Amino acid sequence: MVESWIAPLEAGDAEASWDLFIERYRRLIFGAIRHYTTEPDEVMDVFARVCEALRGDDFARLRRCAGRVDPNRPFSTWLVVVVHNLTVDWFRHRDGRSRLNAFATALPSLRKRIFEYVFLEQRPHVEAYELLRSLDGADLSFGEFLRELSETYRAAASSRREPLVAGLAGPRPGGSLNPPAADPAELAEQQQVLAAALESLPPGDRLAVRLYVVDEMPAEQVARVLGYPNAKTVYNRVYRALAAVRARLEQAGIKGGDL
Amino acid sequence: MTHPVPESLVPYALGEGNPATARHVEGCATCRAEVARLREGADSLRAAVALERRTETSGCLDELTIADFVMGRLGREIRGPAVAHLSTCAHCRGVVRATGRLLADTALGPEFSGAVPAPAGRRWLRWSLPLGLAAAAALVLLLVPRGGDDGSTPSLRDTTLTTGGAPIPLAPRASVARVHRFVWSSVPRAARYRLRLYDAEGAVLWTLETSDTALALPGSVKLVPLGRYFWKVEAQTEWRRWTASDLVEFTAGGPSR
Repeated sequence: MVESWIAPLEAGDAEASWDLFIERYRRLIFGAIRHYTTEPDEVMDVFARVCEALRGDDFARLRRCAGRVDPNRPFSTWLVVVVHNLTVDWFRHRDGRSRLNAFATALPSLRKRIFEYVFLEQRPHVEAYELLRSLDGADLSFGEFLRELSETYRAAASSRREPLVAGLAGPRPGGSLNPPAADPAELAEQQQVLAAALESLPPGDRLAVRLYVVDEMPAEQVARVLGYPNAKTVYNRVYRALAAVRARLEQAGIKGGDL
Repeated sequence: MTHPVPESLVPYALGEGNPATARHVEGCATCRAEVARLREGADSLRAAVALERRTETSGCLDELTIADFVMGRLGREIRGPAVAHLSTCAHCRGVVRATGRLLADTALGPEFSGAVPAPAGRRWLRWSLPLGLAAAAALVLLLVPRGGDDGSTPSLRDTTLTTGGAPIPLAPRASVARVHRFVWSSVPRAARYRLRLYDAEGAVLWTLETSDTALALPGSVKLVPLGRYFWKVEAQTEWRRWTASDLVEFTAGGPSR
């Protein structure tokens, strides 16, 4: 696919390049934004932000990408990544934050603070836990925090903003909600055993497990990104990985429900 | 009884409904046990999400690399480092997952196939109002100092508008029963952190750098029960520029406060 906007950009006619670019890709940009919100005002505000970012610094972002475009590399995929990042940033940091606050306000006070720390400020979960205890004065164990965290994720996932929330916060922490070690330090020690089990796997298999099991990517997508022949290969690798994890955990005396 | 191949139980165990598999598992204790074991392993991996670092760092993949990865087109020389990074970076995996979902969005299908009608005249002028707003916003932003790269190398996505500051030591503080790890607040765009632990005399007992916002106390560092200790953490926000936290005191081995 010929990217007609590149030639004028390289020839120094940035505005002509921009005209061609936006004419070609505005529908894709709008479509990608609408994946996260369908509120007309929000869509237009985010679109303006995307245009501003792509035009910024003398079209630096477009120039960087133009230098690596080739017929075998769809430009649209890169554009989708950019729109995703800018959309999530807009909601997290600028005007969109007030739009998300409307959702957070309906949550119980503890989950509202969790939402602010984890979803808006992108704090690691352990950090959010310590902030709740030290700055907010919340008296709760790590296990209780994990339960509240999981419920916050569940509430966000069931809201109409689910794709956006998934972009803000990533995969929901799952597994057992009643670890006997209701302490991040002890949980971390157990996770080290897990990490050691995964280290024994080839790098591609390690990533396949994370993408499929933790991030819940469809097996066909995992196969494509990792260069596996098909989804069955993903199932095969994940099966071996889970067996290795289980064996290692049993060796360390950690049983099901301990994590 | 003929059992399905073990790996075919994986999608069923992880929630992908398959009526034929479901019927078999219902009547087969062996496969039910295998499904339970698979779910146990998956549960342990998902529990680990609670401890994953989710913030962007200077080592995160740029947008072009992520796009290439999603399309399965990473070059050999970059593939190894990218896969290694993705295995430990929940942030980048989140972008990969979101991109995959967008690519699978049927509403966007025609746009990806390039089936866009040829431009007829200056139809882009319809968008001149939002672009005008964008220009106005860009003018405002020019007045706000922003960090980030100079565009000379393909690197991180553009920085977001956040406030800086020093890290805040979160734990341990005051009196704690025991110390396993040190945790502090993150600082936007900090490339790495340096922690220093002091005894009551001011001698450095331990120092270490990390890109995370937590460090486990190594077994080689022994804390005396009820001894007084101090610690602080510095964040590297630019080349050779560190912002330091306050010095925080704690006592280990006493009742938690």
